[in-house]
Amino acid sequence: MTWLGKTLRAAGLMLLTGALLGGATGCANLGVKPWERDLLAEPGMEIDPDVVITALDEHIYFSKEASTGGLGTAGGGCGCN
Amino acid sequence: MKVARQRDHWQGQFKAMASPCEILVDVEQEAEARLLCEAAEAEARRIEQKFSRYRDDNVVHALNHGAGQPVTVDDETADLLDFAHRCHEISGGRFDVTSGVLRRIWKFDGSDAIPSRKQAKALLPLVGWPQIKWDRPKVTVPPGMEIDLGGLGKEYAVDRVATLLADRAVAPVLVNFGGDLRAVGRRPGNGNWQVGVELPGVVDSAGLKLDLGVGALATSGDARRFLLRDGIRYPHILNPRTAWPVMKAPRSVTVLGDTCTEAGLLATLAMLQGADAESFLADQGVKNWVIR
Amino acid sequence: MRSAIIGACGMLGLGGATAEATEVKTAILGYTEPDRVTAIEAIVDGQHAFDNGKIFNFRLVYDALTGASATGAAPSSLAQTFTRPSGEGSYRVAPGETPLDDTFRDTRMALSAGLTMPLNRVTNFSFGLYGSGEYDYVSLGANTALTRDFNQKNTTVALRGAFFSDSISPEGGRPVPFTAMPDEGIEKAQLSGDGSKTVMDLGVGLTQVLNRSTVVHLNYTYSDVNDYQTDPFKMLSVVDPVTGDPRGADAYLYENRPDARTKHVLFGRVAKHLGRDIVHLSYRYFTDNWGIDSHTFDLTYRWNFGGGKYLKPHLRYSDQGAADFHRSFLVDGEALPEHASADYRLGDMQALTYGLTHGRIVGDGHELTVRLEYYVQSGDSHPAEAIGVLQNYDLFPTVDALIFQVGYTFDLME
Repeated sequence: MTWLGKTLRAAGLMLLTGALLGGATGCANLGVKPWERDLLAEPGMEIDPDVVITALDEHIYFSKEASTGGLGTAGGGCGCN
Repeated sequence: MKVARQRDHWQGQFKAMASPCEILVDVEQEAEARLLCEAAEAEARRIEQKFSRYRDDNVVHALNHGAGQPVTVDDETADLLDFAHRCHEISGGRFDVTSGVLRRIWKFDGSDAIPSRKQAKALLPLVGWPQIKWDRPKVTVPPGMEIDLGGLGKEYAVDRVATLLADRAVAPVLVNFGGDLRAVGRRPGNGNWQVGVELPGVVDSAGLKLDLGVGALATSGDARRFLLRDGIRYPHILNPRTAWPVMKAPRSVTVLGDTCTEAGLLATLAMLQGADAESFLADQGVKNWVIR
Repeated sequence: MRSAIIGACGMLGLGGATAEATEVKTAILGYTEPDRVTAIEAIVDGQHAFDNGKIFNFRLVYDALTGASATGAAPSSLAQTFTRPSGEGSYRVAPGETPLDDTFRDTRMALSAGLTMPLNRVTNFSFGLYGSGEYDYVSLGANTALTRDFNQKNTTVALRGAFFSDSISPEGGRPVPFTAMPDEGIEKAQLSGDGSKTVMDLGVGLTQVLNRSTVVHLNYTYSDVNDYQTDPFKMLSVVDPVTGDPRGADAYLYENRPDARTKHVLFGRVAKHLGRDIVHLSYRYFTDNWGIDSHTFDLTYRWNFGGGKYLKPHLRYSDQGAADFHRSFLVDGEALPEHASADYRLGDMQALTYGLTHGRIVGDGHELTVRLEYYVQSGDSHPAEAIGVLQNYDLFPTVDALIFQVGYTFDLME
């Protein structure tokens, strides 16, 4: 594994841990009031802002790599080469 | 702000925009209902303050006192000016946000103070959207002219508040500002909103009983506001191209639409059709109530 | 006039003018690897929201693929001859070249549809069906999900499940694993019937609004795949332990993968609004009982220019560790492992994607997007176990691809 891979791996685990801790430390304290959703409601702020790009990319990576999925459940298979 | 539990929803009441305002929200907790109603009131006051022509500290004042110089406006104002431009276009010039200057000679106070044709004619050069230089985000209002977004204000506020509450809190809501109302979000299990609407100033009117799922209602016209001379009634709706009332306009027009802004615009345009209000509305295919 | 008025009201962004709304997203994508695969993919994704709160969605995907694909056989100092998968005809690979089968040509059609319905104010239930077909492959599936909001919609929990049943009937049949590729005109030893496998996915997701500008999403997916997962077109070279060239006879064996695969995927994403621009950062950890694990990072930065125009640079990096049974080749005289595959996609690899998307609003709120991406995959070109001549050759040639996409999203009004 390259140094870049190792660094990114560490960063990723930290990100995930932080997010998990954030999720665990009392969801009730987190969040916004209904009228504070102006920024969250903007186009592009969705968790998956472009489902079409996601679908096309997942198909490409499914056929080029052995690791798949992530957002939602993995789709149906294909005989892609 | 008063928040009270009704049979299957919460009701908040306050006064804004010179109207009694009512918010119905379909949530369980009082605290949540209160937060939503307070957000609604805050948004209503924000719009009222921003677009009121009775204040000297807002964008409407700034652009009407630009001394013929371009004034740069924010996105929301720009959207409303784009909208006003489009409304002028599609109404063939009948809908005009510059017609407010006609209030200088027309005061619909129930008296017989009819201005002269000459007075009206003298004001005409100061009316007409095409004379406004609108080059988003810069607007130039020639000296003496005025832009008044108040004619759109209440319906716009209803829609803004309704979408703010429903899209972001995701609870079904009904927003009612003095009879202009909008319901957003189907109520699973609870059926439609039952709303009673008084038609403003229509004496002896039993009002409307509505069974509303999603949609909006708006009324144009106020039967209490008119001038009367020699037995001729001058209704409170002015044609911007003649500076004169639309003489055969109904007393009021109420329209059911998708948004309050749409319903309000259709109602106003119907009023401007005068004697043809009913046939205009029939052509639009909207449910409506015309009172003559 | 009413439609003009509704259109004008739409300018004010006053929310679902009508509760009933249909949104259609379309895109066409071109994918090209120099010297290898070229593909065209088209997608139509539609969603209709009924005024009773139900949402119907469907998706149609078509793709056509042609080109050459690595067979898994190793390069050699000698010219190599391979029988085509059909058993009829053969092709030659020059010394030192990576063996590619250039006869791949396939079109795939996939259709999925689903319905989401509110059970109450905070709970949604959805289910859907999926089917796809290509020349030699059929996949049928069903999925369901339950989502519930908590804490004033600041927290959303989702439970998901999906089941797929796939079957493959490759041209020339499914070779018996580890049997040798026969010469042209001789029938290979075949497994009977179609190859089939089942996939069961179970997932749990959490979406949490942290503050006015930040949302995080966490997702865990468990996936259980059973039965035939071997690639009937892939093979391994059996090389001489000294020279590294293919042995004299039966030099190419068909690969063999385990019948059971259990995958775990942990995915996290943060969406952050920076006042004008929006950034999405994701990390995915993947591991399975084949010994594959990977770390994948994805970063997009939506640079908003106002008026619906934006530029969105994209960076993705993935670092994958090989399957336990991945071999670049087999060695003559050594015992056969239980499973083996030389498919480079099961090997150690790093993949980098960088791209740029431009989006703009055209017409009545329709969105046009254009995307260009470059994808490059590299691995260990000179593994330590390389023998003889194989030390001179690139055993993991870099694969790169150019992706171009045009997308168009519009609303259907009554």
